[in-house]
Amino acid sequence: MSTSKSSIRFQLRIRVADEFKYLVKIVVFDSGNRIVSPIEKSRYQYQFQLKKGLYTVRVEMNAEINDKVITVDADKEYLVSSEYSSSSQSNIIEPPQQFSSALLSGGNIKTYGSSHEYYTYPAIDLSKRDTFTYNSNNTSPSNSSLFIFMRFPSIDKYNSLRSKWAKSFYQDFEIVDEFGEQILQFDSRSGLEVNENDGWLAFNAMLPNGIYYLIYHGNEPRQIPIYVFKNWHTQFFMTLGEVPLFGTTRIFISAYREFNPKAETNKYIDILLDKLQNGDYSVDEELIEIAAYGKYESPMLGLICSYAYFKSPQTRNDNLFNIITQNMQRVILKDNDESPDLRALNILAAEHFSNTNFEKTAVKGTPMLRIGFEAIKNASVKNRRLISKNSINDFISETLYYDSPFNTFKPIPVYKKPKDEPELEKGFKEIGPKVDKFEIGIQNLLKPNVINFIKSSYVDSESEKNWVRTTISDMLNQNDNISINDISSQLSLSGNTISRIFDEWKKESKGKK
Amino acid sequence: MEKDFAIIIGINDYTPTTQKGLKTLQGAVNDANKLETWLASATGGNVPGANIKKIISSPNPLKPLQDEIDDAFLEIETAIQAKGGSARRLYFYFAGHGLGTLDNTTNTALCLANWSEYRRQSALSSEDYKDSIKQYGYFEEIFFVADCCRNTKINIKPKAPTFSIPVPAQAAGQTKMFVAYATQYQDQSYEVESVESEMRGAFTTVLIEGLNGGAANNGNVGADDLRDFLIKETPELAKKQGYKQIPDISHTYSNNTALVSAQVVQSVVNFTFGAARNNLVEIIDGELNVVETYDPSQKKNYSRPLPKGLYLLRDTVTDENKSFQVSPSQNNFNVNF
Repeated sequence: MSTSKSSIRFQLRIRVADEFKYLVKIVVFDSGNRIVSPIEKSRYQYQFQLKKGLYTVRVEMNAEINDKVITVDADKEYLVSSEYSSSSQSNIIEPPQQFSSALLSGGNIKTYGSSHEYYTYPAIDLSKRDTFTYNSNNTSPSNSSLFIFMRFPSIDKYNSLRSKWAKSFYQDFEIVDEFGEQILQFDSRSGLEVNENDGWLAFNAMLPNGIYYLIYHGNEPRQIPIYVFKNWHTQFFMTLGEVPLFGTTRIFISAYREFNPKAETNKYIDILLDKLQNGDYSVDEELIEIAAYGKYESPMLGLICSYAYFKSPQTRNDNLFNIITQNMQRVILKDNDESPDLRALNILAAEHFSNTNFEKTAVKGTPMLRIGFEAIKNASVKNRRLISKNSINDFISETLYYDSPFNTFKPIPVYKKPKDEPELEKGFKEIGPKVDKFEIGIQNLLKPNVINFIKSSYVDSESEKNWVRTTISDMLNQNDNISINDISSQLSLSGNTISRIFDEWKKESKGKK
Repeated sequence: MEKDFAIIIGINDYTPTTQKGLKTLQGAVNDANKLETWLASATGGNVPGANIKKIISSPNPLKPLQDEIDDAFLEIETAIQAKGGSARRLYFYFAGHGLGTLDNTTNTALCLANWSEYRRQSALSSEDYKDSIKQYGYFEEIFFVADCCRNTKINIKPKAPTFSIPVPAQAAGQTKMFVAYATQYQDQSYEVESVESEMRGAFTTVLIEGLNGGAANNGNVGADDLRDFLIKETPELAKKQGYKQIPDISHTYSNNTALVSAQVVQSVVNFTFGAARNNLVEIIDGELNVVETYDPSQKKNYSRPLPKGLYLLRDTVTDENKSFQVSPSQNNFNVNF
């Protein structure tokens, strides 16, 4: 075997096609599996200076990889693309296959592996027309709609699952409004388009702007908020498996009542949602500009970019993000001030700019994105009015799921009208009018029999066990004169949530020996 | 290495899922055993048996719990004190269930056997353990590895060690760290079936292969070599099983410092050529040297030893080619062309 000691270096240029420029990362390994640093790098191209040899080019996209071994014995150029027409096939490196609930498609259908035509075409068609007519006497019509499309990863997967089920896949869903009033129960096909051969369902209706909830009542029940913005069209996608895969949810907000599978902003949103889920709050500079100047008019992109930016320690684009949030509130999403996501964004922005300048009244409804709910929940430790007792955010604090960038939680059966200041009830001790009951020790607030009940609830509770109750019970066993505020602060939950749990324990303790 | 020590933790057994615990793992104990074998081997970590504290799980009684792990460290501390108070390297390895924490994207809760939804804090804080051990200043190097998931759950506050030193030692700042998490924050770490048909962590499989020489360049496995090898090979192994897993590796060694030396071994590669492959075929190494030219028209099966590395088979007439990687951990390796 001869050994090449040549010092000759060759140029390797790897260009990234426009549609992937924000989405992929390129890593080159030499034949000894060592990472080679590029001499020049931008989102459009990577340039390397390499000795003659075999190299592995890795295209990484959303934690998926595609490796291609190449020979470098002259200057070479490759293009990361799914479009074969723009270059000779041998110089194309395909990005790794993606799986998105949203039926996205690139130049090559293979890029999005589960965007089968038998799902994509009905999704496009049904995104444009009603499957359901909503009649409401109280609201004036607005040009806003909600489109929901759910499907399986493939017909094969659907067929492998359907034989196990006693009823059809669509029957356990319902849509309700912000007060829990039913808009549509999915147990019949009325108001829906369902294809039981291919495994998909679609719902599309013009709806007054506001918050709606999609609820699944089957195994592993779950609820997710979906906001319909005035003069915008909300498009919701989810993949189904043995149970609905809420972690795969994708929600877009479109100016047009038509789903565009090739819309670049939707691809950015798809990737950014995964980054949010992974706690990666970095946002590409050019993407920030797109969000800031509304070139693509995508409020969801603006919302996600803003959430990520305000959550990050970056300050370089503070002015730009001021513009983005103001644009979103005053221009893009005007007349939608009640949106919980916009409220949450204001809270995160205030934290980012180290001020306390945000509205501190109770948030009605709950944000679509989990990062938004967490912002409200965390801020409620110091501003407990943000989360009213018995409000939806109060209950979500106990039952939130963490496998989705969206805010999903165990269904909340009744939406009670929030009470800002709960009255003292039996089981609570009377305390002076100027004493904040959240500040004082529990012994001054609850009767001994209730405290004992809570302390023993770890083994004895009839209420549903969950981490909040178990932890509070443990805390009281260690210190049974702790204050609600102390518990609130240690658990990062609103004092109102802790107070409501004490109310429930007090009721449960009745009749106990 | 008389002055090297190891704490190896492998937990398969957890509070049952029916009691809101975690599913039983199949590979964590296997991983711990494999790492122990490598550590104890004269051609591997070369750590004296007495210096290796291996803690593996049992279902009844459900263990290990924190005290058992902290006791192991304190035994090591006593041994180091008895030898004058200095050591070279500590290997701290954990395989089991893990959870990310919401308030810190680095810290990982290494779940103890009795972790459940009701005992949410029954987990070791990776950051606290790493930092607390470092504070002793005994170790020139700490090799800290966690092969576990890092998905988050709410209100996970893993425990700091029960041991500590009153004042951090001056030497603590000099400790070189190699820190490897099997997966990225919020992502999962997977078990895969090994060539011996037993379940193993994908990450640990690659780690041991790398330490056994798969990551070696010039006879040594350097810190950069091992990091890059883990980054390259872990996602590839996970992908073969339909998973996605990208490890999270950092270190403070400089200039690709050698971690272990590796023997140059050759693996036997068995080539099988298709019926239509009758042109001369070149076997080309990573520097594009032709190692051999073979005539498959004479015989369709051919075996020869090759050192580890990336290779290419090239049909000299059609220019069709196929790459393959030779790994020192596979003695017999099949390539079809």
